[in-house]
Amino acid sequence: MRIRSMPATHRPLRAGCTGRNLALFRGRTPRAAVALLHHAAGLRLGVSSDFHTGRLEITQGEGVLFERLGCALLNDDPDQRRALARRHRDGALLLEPERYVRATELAAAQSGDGLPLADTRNATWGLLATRVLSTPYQGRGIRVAILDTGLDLTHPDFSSRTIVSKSFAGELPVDDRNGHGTLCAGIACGPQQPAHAPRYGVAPAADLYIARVLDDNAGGTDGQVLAGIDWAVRYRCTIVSMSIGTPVAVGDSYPKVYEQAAARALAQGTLLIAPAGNSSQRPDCIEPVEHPANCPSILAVAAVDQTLAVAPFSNGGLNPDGGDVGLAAPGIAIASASPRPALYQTSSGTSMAAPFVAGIAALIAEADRNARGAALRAALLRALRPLAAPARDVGAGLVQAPQ
Amino acid sequence: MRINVAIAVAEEARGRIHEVAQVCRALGFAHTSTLSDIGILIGSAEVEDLPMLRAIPGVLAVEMERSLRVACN
Repeated sequence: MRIRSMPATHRPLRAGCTGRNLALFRGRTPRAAVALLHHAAGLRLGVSSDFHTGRLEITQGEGVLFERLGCALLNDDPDQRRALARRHRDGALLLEPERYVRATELAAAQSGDGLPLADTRNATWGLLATRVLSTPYQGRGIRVAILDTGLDLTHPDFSSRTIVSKSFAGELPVDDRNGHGTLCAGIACGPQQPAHAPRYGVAPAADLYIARVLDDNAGGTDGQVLAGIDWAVRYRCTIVSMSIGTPVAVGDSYPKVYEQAAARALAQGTLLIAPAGNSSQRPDCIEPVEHPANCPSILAVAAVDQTLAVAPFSNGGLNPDGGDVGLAAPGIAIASASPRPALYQTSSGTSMAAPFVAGIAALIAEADRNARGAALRAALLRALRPLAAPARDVGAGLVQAPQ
Repeated sequence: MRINVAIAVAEEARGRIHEVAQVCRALGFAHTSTLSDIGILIGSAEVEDLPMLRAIPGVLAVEMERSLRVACN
C-alpha cells in the first residue's frame, strides 16, 4: 500500500481535525462497504483484521475498514472526498472528519487532597469545579432566559429579583409546580447568599427571564419551545438555557427548523444552550446527542461527576453535522432551589449541566461586552479545563468561570 | 391526518413572512402563531399537504412537531 501525502493547501483543516475522514455504514457487510467505497471513490481499503498479522498500519494506504465497528478511516484525496460527499448526501454512508482526541489528562480527584469534590458549607461542588467562587463577575446586566417548567416566583431566594416571565404552556401559569425549572434557574442564576443553603447559583446578578414551555409533567412541544426562543430573542436575552431534549438515532441529522431558529438567534446575539441528553448507560451503551442540542448552532453540554469523569447517562458526540458535544459541566448530585415548601433539592442529569454553562456564559458576557452570540460561544470554549475523557464525551473540556 | 408543524421561512423571505404565511394558509396550513424574530410559522396541516407547503417559494423547511422532555436523570 502506498502512503498518501496531500499538500496542506488541499486539506483545509477544521480545528481539532486530522484531515482524514471517518465513514460509517449502516446495514452493510464489510465486503459491501469495501465495494461501496471502491465504486464511489476508487478507494482501496485494508481491513482491520490485518492489524493482527502486522501487515497494516492505520496511517498507510487509502484507508482501513474496521470490520467489527461498521466504519472506516479514509486517507481520501479532495476528488475522492467530493465523490464520497455525494454518497453522504444520498444516505449511503455517513462521513465525518476524524478528530484528535485530547491527550492532556488530569488526576481523577480534583479537591487537592486526592478526594472527589464535595459540597461544602459555603458552596456546591459544581461551583468549586467551575471556579465560580473566585470570579469577580456576577452576570450583572446580562439577560438569561430559562425555558423550562417555570419558576416558584415566591421562593425566598428569588423574592428580591426582578423577573420577566411568560407562559407558552397553554393556560398554565409561570409558577413552577414540577420543580425542574426552579432547579435549573437556581443553578444558572441563584443568589449569592441563599436563605437556608450553601451557595448554588452561578450568576446571582443576572436578569432572569423565565419562559414556561413545559407542563407540570415536564413535557412540551417544539412549538412551545420555539415560541420561548422567539420571546427570548425579542427581549434581547444574551443566553437561553433550555434543559430539554428528545432522543435521536445514530445517523440522524439535525432538525432544519430548529437550526434556522438557533442560527438566527445567534446572529442577533442570543446563544442557545441545551443538554446532550441522558439516555446513555456507560460504559456499555452510548447514545447520540439529542434534539435540539444536535443543531450546529446550539451548544451541547455533557455532564461530569465529582471526579470530573463523564456521567454514566451523558450522551456522546456520535452524529456528524452538529451532533458533537461542545463542552462539559457538573451534572451529578447538583443541589439547587426547589419550589416551596421544600425550598431545596438535589438532582442529576445533563439538565443540570446546561444551566451551569448558561450561568458562566453570563459571567463571561459581563466581563467582555463584545462576547455575544458566536463570540460568546467561542469565549466559553476557549476558557476550559481539559478533561481526561475523550472529546466525544466531554467536548473541549470543563466549563470555567472567568477570573 | 392532521399534524402540528413548524415552518422555517427562508432568510431572503423573512421580510415578507406574512405573505409566505398567507400562501401557506391558502394551501391548507392552519396558522396559529408567527415567530417573527426567528422566522418561523407554527400551526397544523394535513400530512399529504406537506410536499406542497415545502414547495412554496420562501419556505425553507417544514417539520412535524415533536414532544420534548426535561433531561433530568
